[in-house]
Amino acid sequence: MRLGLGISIPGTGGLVQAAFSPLDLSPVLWLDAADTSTITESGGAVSQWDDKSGNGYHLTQGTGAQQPKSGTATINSLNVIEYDGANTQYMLNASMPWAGTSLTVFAVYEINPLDVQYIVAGANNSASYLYIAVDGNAGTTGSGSMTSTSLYVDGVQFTGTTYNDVYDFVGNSPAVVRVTGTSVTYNGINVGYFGGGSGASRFGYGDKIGEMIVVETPTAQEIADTETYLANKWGITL
Amino acid sequence: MNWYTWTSQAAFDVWHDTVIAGLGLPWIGINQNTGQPEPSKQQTTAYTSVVEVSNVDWRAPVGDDIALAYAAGLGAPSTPPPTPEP
Repeated sequence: MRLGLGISIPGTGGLVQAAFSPLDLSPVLWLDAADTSTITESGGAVSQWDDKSGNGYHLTQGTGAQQPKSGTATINSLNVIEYDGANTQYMLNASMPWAGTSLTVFAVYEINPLDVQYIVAGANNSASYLYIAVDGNAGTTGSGSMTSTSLYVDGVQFTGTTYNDVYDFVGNSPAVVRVTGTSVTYNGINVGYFGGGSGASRFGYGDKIGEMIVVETPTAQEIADTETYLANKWGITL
Repeated sequence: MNWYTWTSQAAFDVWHDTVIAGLGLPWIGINQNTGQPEPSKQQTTAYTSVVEVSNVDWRAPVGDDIALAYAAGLGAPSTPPPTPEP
């Protein structure tokens, strides 16, 4: 009798480790646009994007003009959520309870260099968000409601200091982004646009998100496994 | 998608209610994978939402197709409202 995870390989007598799944991390939130069964839409405009973590923190948007699109763009031939409005589109879950925790957000983004100011994932109003600034004229890299933040793109740590530094670092090709922060001070998550809407955009025209996984205090091995999983799936080189 | 301004929320609401009726909202979404209706999921209940800039300046983004089809009561062309910087 053979016990344990994995499958037996005939002729080898060995075991092969089961394929990695984000569920192995017991994530707080897992959004996967490639799994179109998690997307509810009308004419391609998304009203709900289901959380695959099992926690039920589904993102919703009931106002048509603020709904991002699905089925209009891909990364590595996989479906993504695309933001193409007047910088007003977002999806929200106001109850995700991450205040007081330390979180790591993994995400696959593709940024339109002409129209983006922030890579975003955060809480539910303009005063409470997690963001990473990626454009602008001056200022330091910020993280909204999280402190002690670090940013990695394709596994490499960001060390610059300005919005433009982040913009240059992220670039405009699909990327695996990882943000870790402590002392989150707000509940809820908003993926997309924040605030009233000046000419300076937030998550705007042509920006795409393929997947987002939020985990509390992952180990180094879990970080490596997650980034490898995302890179392989979305055709990104780490 | 362009921004328009109304002089009051009531004026915006009158126009928006016309749009909602014309579009037949609320809409029940469909599952993108199966194409089946998902009545238990978030429905589309509004066309757009308005932002108060002042008590005589209420702005909302409106698509060109909707602006053309529902010109009566549409606000004046405007610009995006200011956003507080982080």
